[in-house]
Amino acid sequence: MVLFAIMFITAVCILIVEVRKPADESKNGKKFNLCRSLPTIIWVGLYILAFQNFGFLIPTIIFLMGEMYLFGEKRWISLLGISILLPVVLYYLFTKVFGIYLP
Amino acid sequence: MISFQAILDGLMTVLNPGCLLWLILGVLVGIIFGAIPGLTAATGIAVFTPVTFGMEFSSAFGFLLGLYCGGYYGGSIPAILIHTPGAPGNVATTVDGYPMAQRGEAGHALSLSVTASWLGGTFSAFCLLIFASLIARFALEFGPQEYFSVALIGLSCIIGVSEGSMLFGILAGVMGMLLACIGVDPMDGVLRYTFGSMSVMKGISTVPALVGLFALSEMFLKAEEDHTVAKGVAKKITGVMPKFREYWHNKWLLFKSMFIGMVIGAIPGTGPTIAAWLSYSEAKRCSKHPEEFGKGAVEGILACESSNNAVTGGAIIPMVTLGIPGDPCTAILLSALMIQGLTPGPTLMTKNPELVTTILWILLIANLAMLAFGLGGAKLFPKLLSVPPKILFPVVIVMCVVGSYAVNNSPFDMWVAYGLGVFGYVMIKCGMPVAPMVLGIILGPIMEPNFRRALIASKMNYLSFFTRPLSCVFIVLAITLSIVMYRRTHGSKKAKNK
Repeated sequence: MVLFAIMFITAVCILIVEVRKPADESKNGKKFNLCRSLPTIIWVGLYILAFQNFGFLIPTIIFLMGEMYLFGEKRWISLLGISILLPVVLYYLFTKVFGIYLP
Repeated sequence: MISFQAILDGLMTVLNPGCLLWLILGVLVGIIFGAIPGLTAATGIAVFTPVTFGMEFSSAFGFLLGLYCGGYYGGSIPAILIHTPGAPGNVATTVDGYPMAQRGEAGHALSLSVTASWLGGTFSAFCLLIFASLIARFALEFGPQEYFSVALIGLSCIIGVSEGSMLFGILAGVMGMLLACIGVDPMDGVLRYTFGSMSVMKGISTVPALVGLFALSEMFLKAEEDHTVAKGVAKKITGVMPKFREYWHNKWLLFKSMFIGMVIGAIPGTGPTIAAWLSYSEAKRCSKHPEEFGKGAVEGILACESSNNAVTGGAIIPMVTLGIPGDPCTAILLSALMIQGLTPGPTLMTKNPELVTTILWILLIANLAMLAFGLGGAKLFPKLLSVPPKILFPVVIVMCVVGSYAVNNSPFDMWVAYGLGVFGYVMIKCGMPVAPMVLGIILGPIMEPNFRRALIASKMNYLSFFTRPLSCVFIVLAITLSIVMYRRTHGSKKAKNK
């Protein structure tokens, strides 16, 4: 517990120092561009949720389709083709070749 | 000392078609991962470690170490061709590689980089053979005090790896250590920060945490950019064959850079970035014509790439002898070792003497394969760089999620990766370096139990860290290292401001 306390104190100390002086330093952070990244973040979250409840194959197909659309792929043929083919290949590889159980 | 017999045994383990096939595949995948800006060797190893679950040791490590070597080299390809380093370790290569490519000597630059990488990798593999057996002798005398102080050396590197503000770096490091505290207390089994949840009890596993911090956060960053416009990289590549005289002419430079890379690699928690910059500035300082650096000097590329790849062997030294990773990649390799049922630590080498020689042969063959791909495939690299990211990145996200699930078959790990991915994304956006946090996550679980074990063994005598000779040496090393690195980063900042 000793170390634990030390770590907590250092964290708090640094936080205090950070809060005091960041006025000029925090500016070097880049600007958030949330309208582009937020959909991806939410979509990945939903994907994991679906992964947990409905298994690997179907959520992955839907996820890939949506994600590629978000990244800017607009041709339907490649959207459908890749997002269906790839999960099937991955599923086969994981379960048969690598011996990993996927739900 | 490792016997000749053990070396031959190692060769026999590696020389089977399955292992060689995986090895070559690993190098290929590594070069691709390294070459794509945003994906690094660490990402590749993190994503593919769960895949090695069902393989036997030699195939699994052939694949992962191939990825490791190929990944460190691959980053130099886009650095030379499109002025975008594929990984942070190759930033220094862009300084001289790109001007060279613009002069129309892209092929020459590529061949220099792959040959230097090969030399560095091979050199460090032999260093691994020599030093690992030397250190392994010491390692058996290591008590908890020594482990703590070795980890402290690694932690002092936070100063070196935090670009930007050092305070941010320290904060990130402490946060990493706090995260590492989650779960069952390693000493007396107290539950910490579990909030009554069973899945949190195991704590934050390394692989999902690294997948999240390195790979997923990078994907979120990439999601911001516009990928509909393709970058034109098509260029003619000629003059790929290496010229022996160039290397002989620069033999001391090469040797020095490789040595720097190897030593930096062996220091826990450091990585190719520091090694490459250090040997680059060394090469520039010692050069007879420093004004050519930055305009396409042969020496610049040689220095960066040879030290960059010499990190591989160096970083494996502490991994196999002490169970302490030398860089982020080896941290994941450690988990891969555990997946194979091997316990990292000082007993690893005494119990499995053939392990080091197997790794040696894998590294040697992987480096050869890298050289072959690098020289033979140079004409294909511009095409490799034009794989549309809009297809690639979603696939990588799927691999991240599946990978973090598959390590422990636990859905909770997916959320760990996701949470840390979002967190890492926010960190990068706020100008906070991610690398110190990773150091904290990796070194925290080594430092904490050893610190407490040392105190218990010495009846709460804090001085025991200094009275034990080895431990004292390490602590002094850690302190000097922090001061030197602080001066370097701080000094360079002042110079820039002027």
